[in-house]
Amino acid sequence: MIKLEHISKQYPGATAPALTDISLSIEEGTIFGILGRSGAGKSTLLRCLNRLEQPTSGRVLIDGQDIATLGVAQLRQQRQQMGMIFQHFNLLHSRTVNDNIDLPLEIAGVPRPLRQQRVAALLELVGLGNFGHAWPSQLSGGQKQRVGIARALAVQPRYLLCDEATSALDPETTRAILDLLADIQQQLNITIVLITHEMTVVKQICHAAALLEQGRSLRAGRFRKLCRVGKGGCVKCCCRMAKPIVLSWQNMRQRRGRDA
Amino acid sequence: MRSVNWDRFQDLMINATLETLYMVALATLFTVAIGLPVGVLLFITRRDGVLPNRAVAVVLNSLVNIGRALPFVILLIALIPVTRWIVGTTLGSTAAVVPITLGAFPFFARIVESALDEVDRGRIEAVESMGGSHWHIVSRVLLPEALPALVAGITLTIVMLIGFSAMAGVVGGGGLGDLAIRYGYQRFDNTLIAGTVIVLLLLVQTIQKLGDRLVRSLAYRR
Repeated sequence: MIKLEHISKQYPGATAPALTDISLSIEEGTIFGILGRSGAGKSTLLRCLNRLEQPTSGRVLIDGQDIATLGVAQLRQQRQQMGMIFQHFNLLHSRTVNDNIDLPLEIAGVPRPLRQQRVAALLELVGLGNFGHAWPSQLSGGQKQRVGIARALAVQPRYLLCDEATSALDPETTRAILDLLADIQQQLNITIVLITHEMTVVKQICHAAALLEQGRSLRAGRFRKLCRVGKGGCVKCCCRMAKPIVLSWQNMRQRRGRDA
Repeated sequence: MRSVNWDRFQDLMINATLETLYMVALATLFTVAIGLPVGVLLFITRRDGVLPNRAVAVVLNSLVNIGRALPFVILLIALIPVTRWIVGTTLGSTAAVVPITLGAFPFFARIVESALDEVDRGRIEAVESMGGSHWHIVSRVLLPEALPALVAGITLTIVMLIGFSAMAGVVGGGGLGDLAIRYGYQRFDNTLIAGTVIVLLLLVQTIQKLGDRLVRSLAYRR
């Protein structure tokens, strides 16, 4: 369970705060979307969750633990519980696919024979069985993100943070990667927090979402609360940020079978 | 024109070339050994660095700037007491390594710093998000990702060290610079001047070629 309490972030020298009084809770075993335009503060908010950013005020509680109080070593331990994937993948180009996925295991001090097994299993999980010896520069964007996902899952984290994970990919690849994330969430029952500027991403896989604008949370909650019923049995998401996006009820129920 | 004594020419050239190679090899070793950690520290202690530390940053930056502001010829003479303290003498090729190294490492440290600056910040952040320590960031991200740029920087530094070693010859270091001055400049032996010029050209050319090839093979798959 991730709980944000009144998070604000002011960068030194910036005129407006990046985040203003954000409170959210993210339930265990769900896919939570944070939606907003560029510059809305999504990335900053996500980085507060593993303390890559320090909020100016407010608390981030992970399973009840205020992460601001963790010491350096404890913070590193905590970060191993939170895998992260990135818009530009951030793979190390000096390492092969195998060695990229191995890195978090190496850092966590997992013994070598176990590491090899894990890496092979992870490659299978993300559908890259034969690519272990390839170099990142030889892969397509979608494949790179799959490696990123495998790497983020290597030490079996309980949370997966996705920083615009599909924004550099074409629509088809985006769908494939989102399917993979949804699949992984089901299989491993982890909690996924993803930020995006694309409504379609939220529509496709999120159970709940928050809308950010200029560092403020406009709305948050389970999908139905976020959306209101419009004409013809459709649901309009009332995003002030963009054109209303129309979802069909059926589509929504299918995806959110569990809470229907 | 005097007739050339080819036996003597050969002896002098071979000796001087070996002395130069010895100085450059040793100086390269020490320059990298000192410059690399200094360059890493310069990079990570920056205000927006991985391990910001104002005191260390200020001290190292001043040290490196002083080293680079002074012309090498002046440094060479100013460092005579330091050389005597470290090596015990100021004469000979080994003694020359001290001023050469101290003159060159600030330059190399800056090259290291700018090579590391080219490493994508996102990759550093990725390893931070895995719970990696500062040591992990340096050893698994910064140095390996910047390796081609570092090797290019070492090549550049070696070529500069050849120039430094020639100047160090003036204060008793020996080598090709010393030969050119004593025989070429002071005794008007143009054959020896030509000889040193050719050897130096070949040396620089070879090192640059090898360095370029290594950089290309390292960057090949990235």
